[in-house]
Amino acid sequence: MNLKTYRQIRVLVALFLGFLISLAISLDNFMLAAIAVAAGAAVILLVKSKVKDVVVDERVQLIGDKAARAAYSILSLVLGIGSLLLVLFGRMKESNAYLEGLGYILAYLAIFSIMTYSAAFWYFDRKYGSGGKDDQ
Amino acid sequence: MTNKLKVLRAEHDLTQEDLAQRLGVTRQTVNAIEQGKYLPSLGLALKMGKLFGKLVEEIFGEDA
Repeated sequence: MNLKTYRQIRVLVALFLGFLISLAISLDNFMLAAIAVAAGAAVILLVKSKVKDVVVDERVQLIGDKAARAAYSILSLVLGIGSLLLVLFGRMKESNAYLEGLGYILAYLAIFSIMTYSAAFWYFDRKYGSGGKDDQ
Repeated sequence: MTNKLKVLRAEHDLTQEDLAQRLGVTRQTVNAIEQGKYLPSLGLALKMGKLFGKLVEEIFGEDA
């Protein structure tokens, strides 16, 4: 199978998955959504293993790295500022107490995101040779 | 950074797709290197040198 066919199948699977998830939401059926996502992922993995062309090379990996870093930065910033605003608004009126709770949840999510990034960074930093002794 | 990849590819009568297959990368990567939008890794640059029978510095050079 070539790359073009793989991309066409991927789009079809994504469209079908979107339809099934919409249906699951409208029917309030959690199991349908879960099965659809699992089946979709399995089909994509199976099809990807049949592709003979190169799907991921060093440039694609670099783009993925940059996209992940940008997404992490934006997400952390939005979560941090959002949580601060929600906590402040929540404390203005007693009726908005649930906003304060939501703010704390977002704050914990921001902290979790930063901790996960730090742990991953530490792991890969060690894996790719930081801290080696100065060989005279 | 400039490179002679497009010239070398033409000399060897290869399409971007052919070259990509021989280097084990996507056609888009070959195109990006030719246009100077992406600098290949050392491993890929050496592979290009071996394929065209040239030194890496004969393919890639700094801007004048």
